[in-house]
Amino acid sequence: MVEKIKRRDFLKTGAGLAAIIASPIAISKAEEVVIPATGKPKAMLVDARRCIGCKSCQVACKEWNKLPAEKTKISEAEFTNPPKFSSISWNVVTFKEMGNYDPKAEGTGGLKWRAISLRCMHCLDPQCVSVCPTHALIKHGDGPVVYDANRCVGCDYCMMACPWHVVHLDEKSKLIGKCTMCVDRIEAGMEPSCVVACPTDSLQFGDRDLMLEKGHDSNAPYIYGEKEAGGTSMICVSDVPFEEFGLPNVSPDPPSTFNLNMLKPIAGIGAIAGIISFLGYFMHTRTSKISAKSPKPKTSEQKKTKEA
Amino acid sequence: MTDIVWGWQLTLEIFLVGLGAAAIIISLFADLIKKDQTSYVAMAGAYIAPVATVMGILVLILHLGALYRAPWNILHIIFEPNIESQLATRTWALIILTVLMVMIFALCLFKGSQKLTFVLKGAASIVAFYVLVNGGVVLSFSRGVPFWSTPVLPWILTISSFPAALASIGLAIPILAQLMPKLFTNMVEIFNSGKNYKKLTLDLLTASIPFLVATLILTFAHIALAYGEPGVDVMLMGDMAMFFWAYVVAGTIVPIIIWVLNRSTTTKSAWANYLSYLLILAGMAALNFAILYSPQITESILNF
Repeated sequence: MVEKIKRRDFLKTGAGLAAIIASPIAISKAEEVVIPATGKPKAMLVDARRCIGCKSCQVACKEWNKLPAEKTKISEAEFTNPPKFSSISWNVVTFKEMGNYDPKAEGTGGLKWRAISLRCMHCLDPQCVSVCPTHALIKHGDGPVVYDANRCVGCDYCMMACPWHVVHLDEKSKLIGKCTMCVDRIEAGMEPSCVVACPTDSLQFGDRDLMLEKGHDSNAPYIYGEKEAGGTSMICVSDVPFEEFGLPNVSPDPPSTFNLNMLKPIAGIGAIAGIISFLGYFMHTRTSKISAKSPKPKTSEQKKTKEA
Repeated sequence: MTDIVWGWQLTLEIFLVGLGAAAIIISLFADLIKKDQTSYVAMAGAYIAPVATVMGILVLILHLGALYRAPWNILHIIFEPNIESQLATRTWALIILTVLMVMIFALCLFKGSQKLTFVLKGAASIVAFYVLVNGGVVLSFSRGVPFWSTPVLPWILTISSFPAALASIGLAIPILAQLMPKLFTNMVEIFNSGKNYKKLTLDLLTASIPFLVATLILTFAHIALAYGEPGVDVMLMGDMAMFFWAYVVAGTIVPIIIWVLNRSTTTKSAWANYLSYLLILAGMAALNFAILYSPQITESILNF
């Protein structure tokens, strides 16, 4: 309990500071938003059109989750920093410069900047949960995919199963690090720290149905996360294709369908291989029997002996 | 992905456990055929299987992060498994397989009931077949690595285990005969039989040829299915090309050539067959490395 109060204070100070730097809008937002814990699946609406790339969400995530700083470098030709997720960087703002520069054009000369705040997609039916052999990753009723270190064997299967490569292993502690969607805050009826810190409402939080409705009503030409991998708790909207941000094309199959679709042809190939092997063995034994029954051709020496 | 998550430990686990599982199935088939010197093959298979499997399991345990952090966590995979997970079912299958293999090993060593040995081999072969296919299924279910998500992959790993097991059996017979002549008197007998022994080594090589050809066909089918994935380029022309082409040339084509030449000559050379065994073993291990590493050392399609 004592620790909880400390963490709250920590957030208030940390997220508040980050928000002050970013925008005054966030200050009022951080104070007033308290959502009721309904137990309904929650989701986050991530609007790339509203993101200004201030990285308040990254800072707030680090602060709330007490994640250490990471020595980073500016990645090539862009401002994404850190360049990818790690066990201590659960929230990454990805920047993308798009279009062709035209010096004659007005304003930016044809170039446009887009940024998007990315984290664990918190799939509705997560592949990482499906493959975890010890239930170390579980799907929380409110939507987050949470990790229990006390059950983890460190097989790293979750890292290979996640289509977004969100899950990372800390080499020192041998523990998995990934976004928890601030499950402790959600349970206390609060919004995730990154949402609170966002100064432009690029990140919004609420019931998944509502977030989905908002996403559709926003008239964004591209929606991501609604159907991918059977649906996720991150509803991303943008005016540019999500491939531009490096997000993969993930089929809409949930793990059960994906696995079944994989097993069917595996069994099919096995059956065909089995039939071919059986026929091959049958033909081989038949040929061997025939050749064993038929008399062997005599050699010239044997013939001479017989004649003599 | 640029970080190797499943490295040499997982590769060796799949290779060694596959070899052990295939060895016990070969041992059962050798018992069923009951021709010429198949009893020696059956015996060598029964001896190799538990050793390879246990080695594979130990290597896998070395990979587990919990071993260094909270070793008791490993018990969760046994007592509270997620039955939906292929790794959990694999763990249980491996436990059952190891127990059966050790029992078979003991029965062969102390000349126990042949009927019981045969029954145990039958049961072990069923579990072994599951373990063989399951290795590839574990990889196929890794949705984050589309290179592995083809239905052919489990069969490559399954079928490639058989020539590796046959090669190990071929190499094991003289080793067992020389190193432990008192324990393996039957092995000494076959090793000293001269012409018969040369024939046996060639027969083992002959048996592995269909598996070598099938593995090669399936590997190229897998490449065709995964075409477009960055892992394919890495495997054919990139950092893992050396492993892949070593498998194709040294692990498949050269043993086939040796087999053809050795079959057509009247004086069979056991040494040529030994060389083939070594090449097959190295080739199949190289194939495992190429398959597991290639998609992991590609530049990520994600920027993060």
